[in-house]
Amino acid sequence: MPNEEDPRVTRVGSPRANEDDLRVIGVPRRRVDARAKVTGQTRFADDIFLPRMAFCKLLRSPHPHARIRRIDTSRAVAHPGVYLVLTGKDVPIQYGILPVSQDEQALCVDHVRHVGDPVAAVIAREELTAFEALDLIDVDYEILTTISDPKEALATPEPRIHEYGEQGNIHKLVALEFGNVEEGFAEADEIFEDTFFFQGNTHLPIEQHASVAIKDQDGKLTIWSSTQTPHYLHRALAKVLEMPAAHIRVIATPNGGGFGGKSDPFNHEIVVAKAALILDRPVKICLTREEVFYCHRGRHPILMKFKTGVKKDGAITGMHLQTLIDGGAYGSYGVASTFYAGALQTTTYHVPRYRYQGCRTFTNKPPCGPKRGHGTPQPRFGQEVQLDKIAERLKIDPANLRLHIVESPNAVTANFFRLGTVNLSECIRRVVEASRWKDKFRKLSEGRGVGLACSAYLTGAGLPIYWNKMPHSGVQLKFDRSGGVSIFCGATEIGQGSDDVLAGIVAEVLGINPFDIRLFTGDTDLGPVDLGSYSSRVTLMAGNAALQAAERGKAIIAEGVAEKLEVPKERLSFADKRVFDSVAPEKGIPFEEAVCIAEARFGTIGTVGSYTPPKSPALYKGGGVGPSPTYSYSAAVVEVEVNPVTGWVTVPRIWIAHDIGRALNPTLARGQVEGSVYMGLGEALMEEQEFRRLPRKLSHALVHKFPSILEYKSPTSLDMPEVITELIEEPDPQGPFGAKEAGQGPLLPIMPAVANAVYDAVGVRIDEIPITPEKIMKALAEKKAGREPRFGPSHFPHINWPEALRVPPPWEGGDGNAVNDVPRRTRTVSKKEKVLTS
Amino acid sequence: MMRLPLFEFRAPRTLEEAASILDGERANAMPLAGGTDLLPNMKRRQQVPRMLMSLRHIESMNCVALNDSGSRLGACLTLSEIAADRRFRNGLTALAQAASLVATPQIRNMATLGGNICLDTRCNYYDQSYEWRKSINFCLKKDGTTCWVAPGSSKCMAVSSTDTGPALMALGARVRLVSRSEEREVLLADLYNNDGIDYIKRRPDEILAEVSLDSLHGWKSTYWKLRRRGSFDFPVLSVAAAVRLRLLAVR
Repeated sequence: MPNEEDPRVTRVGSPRANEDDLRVIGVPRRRVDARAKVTGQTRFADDIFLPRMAFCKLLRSPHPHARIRRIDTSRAVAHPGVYLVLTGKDVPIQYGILPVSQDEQALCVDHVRHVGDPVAAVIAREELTAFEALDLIDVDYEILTTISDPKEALATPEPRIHEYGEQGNIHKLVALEFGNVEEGFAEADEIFEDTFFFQGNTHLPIEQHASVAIKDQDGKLTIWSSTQTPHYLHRALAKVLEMPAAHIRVIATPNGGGFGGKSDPFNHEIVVAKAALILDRPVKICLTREEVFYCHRGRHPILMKFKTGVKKDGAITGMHLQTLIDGGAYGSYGVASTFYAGALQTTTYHVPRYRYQGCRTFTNKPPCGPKRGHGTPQPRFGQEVQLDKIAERLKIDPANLRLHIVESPNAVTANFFRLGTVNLSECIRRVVEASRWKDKFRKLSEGRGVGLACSAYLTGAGLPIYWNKMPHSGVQLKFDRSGGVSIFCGATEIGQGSDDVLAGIVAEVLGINPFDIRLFTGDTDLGPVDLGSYSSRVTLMAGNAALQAAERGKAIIAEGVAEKLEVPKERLSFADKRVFDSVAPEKGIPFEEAVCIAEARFGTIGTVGSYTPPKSPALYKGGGVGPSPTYSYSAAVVEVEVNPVTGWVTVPRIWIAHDIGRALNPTLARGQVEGSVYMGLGEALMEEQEFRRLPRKLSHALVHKFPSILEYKSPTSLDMPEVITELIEEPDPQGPFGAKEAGQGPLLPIMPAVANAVYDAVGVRIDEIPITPEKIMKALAEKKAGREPRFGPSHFPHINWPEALRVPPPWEGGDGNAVNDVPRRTRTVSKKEKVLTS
Repeated sequence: MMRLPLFEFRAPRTLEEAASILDGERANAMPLAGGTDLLPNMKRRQQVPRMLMSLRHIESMNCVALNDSGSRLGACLTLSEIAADRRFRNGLTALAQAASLVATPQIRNMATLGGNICLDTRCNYYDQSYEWRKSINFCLKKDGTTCWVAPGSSKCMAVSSTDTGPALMALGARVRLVSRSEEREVLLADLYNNDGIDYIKRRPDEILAEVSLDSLHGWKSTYWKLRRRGSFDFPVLSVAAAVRLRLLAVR
């Protein structure tokens, strides 16, 4: 196989000069897995039934915060039908998604940190038996002080929820300054200070997490699981089970929705794996909906304060953002979330000087983590609502204000993120035009209003979760004599259409039909590593790997065919399942014959491709969170009707334009945009991960208010407005065929656009998400009483911030390093990090 | 997933047989119609009857009789049937509207009129799993001693969420309760008690067999429901009204 190229250097971008040539890419298509999905044949993890399979249930802590003094499992062990009872001492090794926060145990050994923390597992012949036996496990708890929110966490350093972190119950403090922000404020004509609160919410995938583990005939472990990150689960299992990773096979079953909620390695996955190894029989768990609320890893509740200086024309002179983040009981992705909450403010509008201070605390609630938009929707809400306030004070139309300050394509931002194509202006212009913004803004009758907001999002995280220099995604192709092509890739289908993206790209390059391709994805034994379906990375990264592998396969086939047809290989075209002379198209052969010719000439044909993102110029500590090969942009206009008597909000229409680079399959891309709008609307108007504290004299309880799909309100199809979607396509050089992400970015503008529309409708500011009728009524009452017509937090607490790392922005001659830190290239791993990663 | 506890299942064919089974079992048995309320409650261990007795095979409970003097509706009519049947219009509009606004189409296909009338009272401290309730040390309505809605209260504050109840009350409906020893008809408005636990006057040995209404000729009625979202939600507030307009001659 000819392969002189350095496999780490990846060719990216569009291989076609003339996009009219495209036969698959850009054509709205039925997705390759559609048939299985609509006929109910997709096999999710809970659909797996194996002979001799046992069922697992987890005993969970009823206390928000306690020490475990003693666990007696003898009665459960003796219960008829029970095969095995596990406790923390059986799987004591700590793990976690981030190397810096290996703070979870599959079953708590001596400390429970939230209601729902698992303390024991029962594996039994039937699920009902396992459930009944849970009540036979006697746990002796010593109750500890309940810490229910970040303010309590700041005020209560002891008892500590974890023994690591900054201090007390502060998990992570971040302080970064890019340029002298005080100088920026001195230059400003107006300074705006606003405090916002974004309530936590959860992913609510329709499929609950489920896993099945077996010990294979040769003693190895196989686990099928609804995970978005089989590779990271693979690593966690190897660590906790103390098994060679080569003896573990993780198969990510198609996820019935993920949205970030299946991105961590989970305790139940480790438990069923351990039980299967001990029992030598298949062990299954399928979580209840309530347990999914305890896995959580959803949107962090964030209190935030924006201080922004602007010139009279709206140009930003400086911005200072502070966040207080409710992390819940474990680290999860929280360190990354804390950085993300301050990362993307600079990517939409030009911010010449920027300071970010973030504080994540531990609390006795299910851990927060990455939900669609990961850490960025909360500050995006604050930033876009504040811009609306700025526009009003400066008497500039909010759309014009934004058009005036949009960041330039290919810019390097104050915090050293290198942008790619930026078509935010075009997005704004399109939604303004489509919604007839100019006829509506501040012109509709009382109770009706429009609001506008924008956003940016990464197309894949620039760095992996654990430090390594290997590719982020790999693809192998196998070419069969039948003309069939098999794709092997670790990428995980979570409903977003990643399988279709891979098939579409390979089919386009080879000139075949996506339905002629077989996919073997999300399987750590079969396919090369893909880091997972998170951070909107799969289309770009696995897509570029697939593109490279397909181009290499095409080159081999072309070599063989060129000789046979006596046509220069440069002149060969691959389309309509044929390989032919582009100058004389009748001169050609079927694709399968071309494969046979090449196989006869070169032997068995298989190719590989891989992708590694470009190096980021953000070299300072913390600069690893936020860089991406390129960023997507969105603008949305939301129209609302607010009933001034009841505070009820209805949304008849939403216009959204999304800068996608290129829509590989426009049907899927629109689905992603509309799905984001749907989820964003739920967050804007009703979704809340709320907790209930009982009267303290009577109880230490801190429980999820309503861990059910019925009472955790999210919109139904009847609540969904008309959505007018426009895809803005300017191929980005970094993406396969120019594609950027579509799965997360379009969610971000919805919440602030709703808030801005509510203000346009009834003249009250709801600086808090979700925007409920109660809050609108309170703000309307304030307005009526002649006070500030607003509902939202008024105060940001004092936090002892560390000295900021000072990074001069590019236009001040900065090189991406902090001036008050050891340059990163030579920086040694600090002692603390060593302890936590060991 | 959540599993039902084990139970004995009976499916009598006649009302007499059903009444006789309940008479023998008393509080051990619960009548089962659509199961859309009872079965999830059982999964959460809010109710753990030893026996479930299905009412779906009793023919008389699935019948509708509409005539000039009034109407009699079998308690096992599904909410979908009531919502779809054009006979439930004019005077009975409120009932049809209420039935059509319950939960989701799938649930309405199973849920029954009688079940909706007898719906267990609801509360965010009670409509939770066994494990969840354990973490608040349970509540007054089930296994505990404190009403967490009002910790000083000696009365349970769980409330009814029936949609058809208000509509039928506005229409002056009566319900027929059948036990082995007697049959009685009570005004629906009198069926309920102001107590979250002892919320209904139906005795455990009684079957709510039928709903009856006087002639509603000339009446107009309506049912309005406030809920947090457009479907799949219990009412936050509901209002039903029925009026008969007498036209005065205008000269």
